[in-house]
Amino acid sequence: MCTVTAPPTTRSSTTARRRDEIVGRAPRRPGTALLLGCLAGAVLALLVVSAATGTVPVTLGDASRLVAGHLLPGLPWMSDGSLTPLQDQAVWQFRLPRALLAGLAGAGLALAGAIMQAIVRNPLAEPYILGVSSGASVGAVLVIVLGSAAVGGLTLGAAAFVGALAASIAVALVARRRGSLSPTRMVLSGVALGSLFSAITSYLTITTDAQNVVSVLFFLLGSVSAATMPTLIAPAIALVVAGIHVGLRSRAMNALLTGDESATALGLHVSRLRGELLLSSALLTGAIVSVSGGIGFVGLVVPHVARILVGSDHRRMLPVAVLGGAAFLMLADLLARTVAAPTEIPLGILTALVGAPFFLWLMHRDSAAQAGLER
Amino acid sequence: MRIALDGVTVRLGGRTILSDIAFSAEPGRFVGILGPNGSGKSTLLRTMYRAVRPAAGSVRIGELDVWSAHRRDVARTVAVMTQDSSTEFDFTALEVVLLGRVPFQRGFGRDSASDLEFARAALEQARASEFADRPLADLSGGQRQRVLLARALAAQTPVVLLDEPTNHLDIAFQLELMRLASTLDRTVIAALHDLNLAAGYCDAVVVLHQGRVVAAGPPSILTPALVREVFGVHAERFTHPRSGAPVLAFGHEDPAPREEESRFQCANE
Repeated sequence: MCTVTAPPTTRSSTTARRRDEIVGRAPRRPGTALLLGCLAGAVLALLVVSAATGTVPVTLGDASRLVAGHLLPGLPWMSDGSLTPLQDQAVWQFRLPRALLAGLAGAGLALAGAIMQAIVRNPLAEPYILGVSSGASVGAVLVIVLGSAAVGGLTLGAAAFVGALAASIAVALVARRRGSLSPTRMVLSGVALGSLFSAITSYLTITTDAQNVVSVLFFLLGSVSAATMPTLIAPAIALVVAGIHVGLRSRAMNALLTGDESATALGLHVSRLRGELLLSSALLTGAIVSVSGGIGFVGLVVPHVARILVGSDHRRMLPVAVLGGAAFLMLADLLARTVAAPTEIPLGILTALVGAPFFLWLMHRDSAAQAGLER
Repeated sequence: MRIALDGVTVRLGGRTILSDIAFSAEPGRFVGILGPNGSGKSTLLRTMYRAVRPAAGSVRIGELDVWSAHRRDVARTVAVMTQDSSTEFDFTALEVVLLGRVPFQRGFGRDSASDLEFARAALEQARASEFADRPLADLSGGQRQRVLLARALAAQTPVVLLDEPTNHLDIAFQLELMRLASTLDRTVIAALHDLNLAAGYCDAVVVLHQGRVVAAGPPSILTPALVREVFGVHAERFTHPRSGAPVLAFGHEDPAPREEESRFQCANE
């Protein structure tokens, strides 16, 4: 044991810190609160407009009154005959669940995308990168092709959820090495296993009867048209749970973005944090995919837009991404069922058609350069 | 706080990176870890902030046993200026420095006034205030180093570890950083490449060679014989006329390669 015992050199008494210039203001971009308010307003407005849009005529006012009447007891217009049962049915049983599911799916996929991007520390990651959607597809397509009896009596939604979870667990197990989860290994495992699952889906699709192929495509492209109030429960719970979890971990996620080494130095258990976040995003994605199919694009691009608008700090960016995702997908669904009415455009196609040009436009603006998109 | 390592041995992938490292650093001292590439300098630092678990031995900081304490308590005691910092995402310099406060924060809320105060003071100390609001990715390598230094300082920990802090820095800021490190009233341990910087500013140095401590003590232990043994190069030692610190000039064992010389002569003829 060699002890270092050099004589202390002359040192100035303390650090030359200049306390007079200290400013106690938070570095908060001023627009964040305003932006969140606008997005919340947009979500509510889209909910009402969606409820008033369709073949059965319902005015915006009637749509609002119907929604309020279902939520609050004893409102006079629910029993005075001014609203027809057909209007009530159209709004409460078809349009509203659908708009709500679009909102939940948009919010959930945007959140899952943001989590996934933090986990693999790559802004190009999306909620499906770890084989989640291809796993869900295998589950759903098995039910469509072989019938639910073949997969232990699971419904299509349940089979998709199980498939999604099984795929993420498989990816995490394959990527694990000496107890740690490295981002690169996770992405590579996800891509490899995703291809394997896609091959299974393709094989099942190509060998099945022709009438099943439409159902398979319908699931793969994603849709919220089959939404009912009970189908909203699972995604809503998943969104709330994941939201709370990620809210509590938002500082840790910020630290994770700067690198494993520095996150470790800041006192984080990096691998455990990664596993935790992975579980959260897989549950969230699985719950959404099982009811809405594979809606692409939202999870990749909405978090990006949120970063361009308010920066990378998760405490600002996650709320913006969640509300922005909800508004975006509700708008997309509204367009999907109106622009070519009575034909409906599949949601996954529309999100890309609307989202891609918008994203490219944002990318060309100055603030995109600051957000790191030019590197 | 006093740092004491005893019998620290690290094996990674079947290779022994460090064997039986033992040294201690007294409170408030600035200790330089020296050694050639691959001698285990960074790994040694990593055992002190819980990034690499030693197969044997103990790392103690004051009363805290680094490897049995809670990782949060360690992060509240030791701040690190790491070499890596991802710039895939656009954090501003100030946001990066505020991350140094993470070990002291909980929950979702905003940064407290004192967190901001520490961050701004650290930016000032590292002379990085002028680019506090610019994205880290837009900064030069040297500016980025200042920000990472500020992040370590913002934590206000009694111990600061610097992993090759003078990389990418011009000579003026190298000297500035070394002076800052030597005047901090915290225990500072730095992995360094530049023997002269270490000799000029460190209170003590620890020399590693192939994962072992071969010498430790005041900078005057940096003799030509030690340099030859550890780095395999010839050194002449002088004394700095003003500071009295040892100064080393390096060269080949045989400064004029004979073969090249004769070729030049041929060309001249």
